[in-house]
Amino acid sequence: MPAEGVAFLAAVMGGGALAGGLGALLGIGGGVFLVPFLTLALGVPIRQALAASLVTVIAASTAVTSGPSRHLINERLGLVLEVATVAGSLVGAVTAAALSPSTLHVIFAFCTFFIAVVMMMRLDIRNVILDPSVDPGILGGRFYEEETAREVVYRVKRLPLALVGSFAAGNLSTLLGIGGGIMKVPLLNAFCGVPIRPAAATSSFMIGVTATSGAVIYYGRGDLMPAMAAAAVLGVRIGSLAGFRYTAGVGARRIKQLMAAVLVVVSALMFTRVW
Amino acid sequence: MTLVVRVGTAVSTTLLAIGIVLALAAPRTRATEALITAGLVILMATPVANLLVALVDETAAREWAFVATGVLVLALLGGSLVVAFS
Repeated sequence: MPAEGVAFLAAVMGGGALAGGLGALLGIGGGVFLVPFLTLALGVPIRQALAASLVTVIAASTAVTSGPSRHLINERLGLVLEVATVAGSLVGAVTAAALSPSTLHVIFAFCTFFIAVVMMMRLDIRNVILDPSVDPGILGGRFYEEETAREVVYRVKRLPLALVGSFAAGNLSTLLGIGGGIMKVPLLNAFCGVPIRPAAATSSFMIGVTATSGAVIYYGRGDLMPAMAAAAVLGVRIGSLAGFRYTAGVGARRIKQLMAAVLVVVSALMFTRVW
Repeated sequence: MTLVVRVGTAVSTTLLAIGIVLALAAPRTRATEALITAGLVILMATPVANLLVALVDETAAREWAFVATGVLVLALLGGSLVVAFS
């Protein structure tokens, strides 16, 4: 279809809306769907697709950071992990030279599938500590949980693992045009002791910064197509508003199931991009 | 923090919305493209502005470890800028 025509921009906006909707609930930026959608379905050249996708991730991030779940964001944890993520994003350029896109996609496909399996196995393991007098530690947090109608606490475990995972997510971010939330949320939730909703909110907070470094690089190289990026961002705004409205009461277990399902779909997408 | 993000989001969204309507309604002009680009730049600046506010908060709270962490993130982001425009 003609680039920049109404139908094209409407399709891009639809892609952005999906990203926004999923981002509102799962703490991802939607790039894992948007990039293949732009390149395969709409024929957008890869670098322009990556640029638009990274901008979409920023939009999804800002939606959550100012949205109804913002009280769940763990800013200090996000700040610490961002060091690893942004460092990883910078190093991404080196990785790009060392590994072929196919190799990257295969690695990513296996990682996401493995994480999906782990998430499903841990669906009923609760990270929340029901006794509010427990100390959350320097990086942990407290929040009011609707399911149990009380204030709960969580502590962060295995910080080194979270740092390594954040570095890897940052690495993949610039290369694949994603925010990395698809790895950060399950990592934080399944291995690092963070309940799913604070994990998603904190991930949304982090991916905005991660995607900024990549977006600026692509913008500097002239890969950011204004109308297409604008359509995607406006789509995110609409999608995230709908997402907030319609997912307000979704329980933690359901969110984890949805996250695992998304991971499996992403894994399949990544495998098909290789072959 | 929320205020910064809300303002950045509102301004950016407005510029982008106007820009895209103009782009569709009339032949593309430099002004339209500049409008959209401005919206995108503000969007890209929002997480960084957010980070700066977090830094100010941590400084006010005298949490030097987190101030140092934030400065490090900013420095790395600055590195991206250098890579972007070199």
